[in-house]
Amino acid sequence: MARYLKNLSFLIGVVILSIMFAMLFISFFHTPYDVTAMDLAHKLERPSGEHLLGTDQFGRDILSRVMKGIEVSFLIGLTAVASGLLLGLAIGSVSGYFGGKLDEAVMKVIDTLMAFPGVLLAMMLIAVFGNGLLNTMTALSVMAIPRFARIARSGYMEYRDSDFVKAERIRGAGSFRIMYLHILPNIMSELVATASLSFASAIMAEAGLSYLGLGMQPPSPSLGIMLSEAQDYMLRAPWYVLIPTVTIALLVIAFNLIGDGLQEVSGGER
Amino acid sequence: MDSLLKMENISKEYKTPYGRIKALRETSLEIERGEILGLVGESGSGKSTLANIIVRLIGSDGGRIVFNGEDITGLSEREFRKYRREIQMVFQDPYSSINPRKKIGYLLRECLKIHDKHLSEDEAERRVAESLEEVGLDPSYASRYPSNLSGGQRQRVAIALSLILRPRLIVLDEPVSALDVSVEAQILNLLMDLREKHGLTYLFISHDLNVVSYMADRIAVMYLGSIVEIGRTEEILGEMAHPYTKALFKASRDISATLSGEIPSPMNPPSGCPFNTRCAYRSERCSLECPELRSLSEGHLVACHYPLGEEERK
Repeated sequence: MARYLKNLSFLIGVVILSIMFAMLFISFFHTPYDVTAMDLAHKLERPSGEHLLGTDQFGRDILSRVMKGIEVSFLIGLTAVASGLLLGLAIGSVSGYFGGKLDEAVMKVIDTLMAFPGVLLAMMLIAVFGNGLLNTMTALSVMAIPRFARIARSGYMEYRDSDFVKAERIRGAGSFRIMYLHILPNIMSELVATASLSFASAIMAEAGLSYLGLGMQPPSPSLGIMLSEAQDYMLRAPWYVLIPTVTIALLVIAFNLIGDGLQEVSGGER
Repeated sequence: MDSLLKMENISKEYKTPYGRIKALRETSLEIERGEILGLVGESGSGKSTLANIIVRLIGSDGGRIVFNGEDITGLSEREFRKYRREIQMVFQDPYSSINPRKKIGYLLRECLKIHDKHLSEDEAERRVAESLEEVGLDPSYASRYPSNLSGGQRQRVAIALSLILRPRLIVLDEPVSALDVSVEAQILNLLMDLREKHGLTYLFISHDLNVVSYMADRIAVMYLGSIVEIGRTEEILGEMAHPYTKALFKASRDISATLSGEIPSPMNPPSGCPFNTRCAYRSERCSLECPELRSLSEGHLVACHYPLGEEERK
């Protein structure tokens, strides 16, 4: 761990993320105002002691909405990465370890999925299944699979003929044991780095979809929705559009920095 | 002769995009119980293929393998499982043959658990400590990662890993060639001691002829996928009959005596005797007719039309 903290990108990423996490954690118990409570007498107010980040066009507290917005981002990022990682690992490990015809067929499918821009793929799925939190999560999960599958596959291909795997086979270890108890720990750092980068893309994709009206629906406090609503008031209330933008940017940068840092450190180990 | 492993007419062909490679050509080999059989040859001679077939990392294309009196040729992986623990292997490079992400103790315990699911924790712990002591390491090494160990220590761990299953036969694939000279002798002596103690049988693969002559009871010389000479170590050293054996042993002492040219491509082997393209004693017959292994004296076999005489050996 100390090794990782010496890496500047990782460190900066962790600091930003910690602040975001703190906001997320507090939002579970307390937000300064109710996120949907309107107060038309105080709409589009500047940041002040009353409303730390100002109010939106319905007089809702922006800080409270950003806090809840981060929650949505994390929720979607986490499900997308977790399911993408699990399914991608399952597909990539079998494909890479056993190889052959199965591998060829699976990789054709993965390549096809990869050929679609991620957001387009998500839009297609949402067009078929409709929008909402669950469908957004599903769409982004499917979008995350190919990346993990590729990384896992190349890792398993690298190790399946290595001496220690051969030695395990000679000792009588079964394929399942070799794949998940012996090879997996060796490619874990790469997968974790990819997970961090995928987290960033999932957050970005969710914000993008919600901005386009395909993801979360108002009045849910998604950062993407806030952004699309704020753009109409860009000149009258520039802080309003700036706040969700900066939040999205910070989240994405944090995860990217962490992912890069992890890759640098684990790459240097070899 | 009490043989532990008997391989008859084993062939192995690899398909590559460039053509077929005959890695083994109807090779037969017998390993006696309790002996150390040295296997020497250049790289590309098929030594490793033979080793991989013995430990069943790969299958053979034809022939018969009898282990401990039982035919194990056509067994499925499941049926072969009970023989797994009896045939073990130590690899050349101890840096790649041990999983760097696992503690030594985990790996040792795992060997036991794979083959005996009902083994108690205490018993496993005891046997792990015992096996580390046996290879000259402190039992506290069980809680270390391979990255904290030197090459020699790692090779001791690799030996412990194959030994803990109480095998009958251990294939040693160049077990000391990746180690420092100072460590080499220690490992060789350890292997000798362990054989004595457990009545093990070794197939000792190496290209270092000094090491092989020191270790082996018998020596087999391989060239281009077949065995060209086999016999007791003194016989091979004193009465070598194959020109290739001579070239190989001369080259280890005198650099100017090295063989000319490279080992021919196994994709396109020469007709007749596989060695005829590089042989100093070749005649017309050698490029037409492939010599069979034949007996010169009891247990000393050679595949050559014109085995070397007293004069030519020098």
